[in-house]
Amino acid sequence: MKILGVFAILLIFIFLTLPMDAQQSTPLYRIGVLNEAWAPNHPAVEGLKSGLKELGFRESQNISFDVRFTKGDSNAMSFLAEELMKAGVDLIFTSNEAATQAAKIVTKKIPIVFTLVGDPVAAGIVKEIANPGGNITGVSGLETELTPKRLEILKTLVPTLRRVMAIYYADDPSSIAAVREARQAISLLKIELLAVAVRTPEEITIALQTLKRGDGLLPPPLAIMDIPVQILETSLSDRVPAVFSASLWAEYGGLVSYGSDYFSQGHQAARLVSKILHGTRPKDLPVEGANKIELVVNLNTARRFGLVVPEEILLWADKVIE
Amino acid sequence: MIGFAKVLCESVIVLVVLSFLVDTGIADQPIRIGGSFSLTGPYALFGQTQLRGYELCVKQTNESGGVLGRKIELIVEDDRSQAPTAVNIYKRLLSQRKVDAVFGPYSSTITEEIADLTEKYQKPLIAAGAASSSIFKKGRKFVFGVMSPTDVYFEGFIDLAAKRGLKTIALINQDAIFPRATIKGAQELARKKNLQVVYFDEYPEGIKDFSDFLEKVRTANPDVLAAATYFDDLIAISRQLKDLDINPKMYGATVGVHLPKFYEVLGPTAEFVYGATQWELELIRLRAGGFIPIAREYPGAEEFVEAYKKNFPETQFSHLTAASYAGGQILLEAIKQAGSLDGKKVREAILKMDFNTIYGAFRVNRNGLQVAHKMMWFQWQDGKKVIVWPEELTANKPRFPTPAWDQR
Repeated sequence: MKILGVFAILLIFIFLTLPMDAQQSTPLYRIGVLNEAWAPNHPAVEGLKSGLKELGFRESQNISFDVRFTKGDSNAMSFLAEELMKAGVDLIFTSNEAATQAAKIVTKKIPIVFTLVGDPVAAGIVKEIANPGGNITGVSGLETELTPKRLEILKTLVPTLRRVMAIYYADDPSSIAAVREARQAISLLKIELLAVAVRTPEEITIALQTLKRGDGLLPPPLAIMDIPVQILETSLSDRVPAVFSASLWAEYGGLVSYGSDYFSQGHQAARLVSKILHGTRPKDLPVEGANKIELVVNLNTARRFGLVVPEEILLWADKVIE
Repeated sequence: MIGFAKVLCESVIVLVVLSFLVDTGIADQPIRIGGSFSLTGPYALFGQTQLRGYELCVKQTNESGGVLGRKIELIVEDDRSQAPTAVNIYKRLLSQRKVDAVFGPYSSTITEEIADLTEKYQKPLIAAGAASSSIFKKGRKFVFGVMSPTDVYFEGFIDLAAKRGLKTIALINQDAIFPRATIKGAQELARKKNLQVVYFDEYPEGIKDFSDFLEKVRTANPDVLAAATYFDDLIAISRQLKDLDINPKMYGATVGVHLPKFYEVLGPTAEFVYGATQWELELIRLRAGGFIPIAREYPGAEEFVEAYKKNFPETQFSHLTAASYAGGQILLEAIKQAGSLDGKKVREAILKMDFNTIYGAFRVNRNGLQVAHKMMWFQWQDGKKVIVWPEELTANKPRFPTPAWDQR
């Protein structure tokens, strides 16, 4: 008994002389982040950080973020995905289809949690929504599925709308899917669709120069080659109505947006990330649909365009920017 | 047909006006714009940077052909940072020298004093160096703000503090119109964000020893210290906070923190200090939410900075330079839109403007109060001003909390 007591005292002594961080032994999780933004503050990433904070994670205490962004360069995605894999991150958090595909190609082991992917099954990212399989799960943002509704909103806002120009990066599957959705919707709405697949900045400029009275714009869900920004700039300078896929664009001048909010998707994905970090396998976590789909109307822009926003849109809108 | 008739009619009017101007010789005469600037005295650093903005605007306008077919002549006088001197200068400019238009001086104090004069002479005063909202709440019709007004100056700083769970704030200000109005705005903003004001005081202009005030700050033990300052007092307060080892978790001030000279004078003592700014060059490169460039809200800003460097190498540059350049842009655009130098017509044109200058959005309400421009907050980090608010514009995070002096 006496020996046991001495042993216990010895153990307490050893514990007390250990460095503080060894005593706490809190693991530091490293999250790799991959997207096509121009700066580290992609709203989905900010949403993820906010959500993880609410779940008890503290940056640089028990979690850190290694953020890689391509500045709209589609060629950089696979290279940056590989960098994250080599850096040995514990999880890769992606935003959009291209980033998710790139991450999926470079690793079958590191868990991947995606956001801003329109249809993850059609894109071949997961096998099934309920059973994603492999090392991947995430939040589906319905980017492509909401395309018909976006066109309907634009037509309601601008009854004189005759044609919608959809400019998109030729090799982007999300944009191709969105155009496909748009094609199915136009006959009901009695509008034409001019789909312009581009691969160079010059082609974007040329396409935008052909806009004429009665046209509207449908930006792609992906920011490769800065296409949505160029559409926003043209929309504002030439007063061409455009409908965007997320509120961020309407908040910075876009006429209207309909879709899931980037920040909210990141925030929602934080629970999936947390569960995976605590040991749940990604394949056991069904893909979630975005919780929040919102309509945002920019009344300042509508006024500048000389549009009277119909009552039904105002009543429907989750946010009206004045 | 209606369009053709309108164009024809406008062309005839322009020809008639031009022939009148040629007949009277006015077309050969420059448009004379006068102003008093604080080229010496306590505001000299600000007044000089401000004047260079006006000078550059006039120079570039003249190089591109002037306004209404006439060149611009800038008439400059030094008010020595004194309101009575400025009043005499504007009186002389308006009544004796009969300038066609005026540019606004530096500081809310001086602008407030001369605003009644420009009102009397019905000359639009673009107040590019004044932010006190009180100036625009006295029923005046001819004074127009360019900057975000004092009511919202501390918005970003208090928002950052509240989001970090801070609960108490001490407020100090110089006993002058602008700092007083700024702190009044801060009190309201603090109330909205549930920050309790645990100490509030004013200090007179010109004092050098702030130890009495700062000891009271120490006793109040606030999480946050907000100071509405000018430059010399700001430097003294910052130094004495260090000397007295007073350690709020956030310390921010209004005027002066944005100047490169602030860091030049204080060196590492300037680290962690938060400052308000109405404009920064970094704006050109920022992308809201990582996607949307906000440079379009500041058209020509990059070219302006390049032209500034070329025309005024090795000189202090601040947001005031950009504000006065923008003040020039606004006045000259309004004259163009009015097609006249008549004060009432120019005023009407200004009231209708929804205009983006190199300084950002410009739109005023019927009282001339600026309602469109946006403020920012930055923090000195490793010798650089890093924009930390609004948060959606930047990926930069504030270094928080500010460590104690002996741990920096």
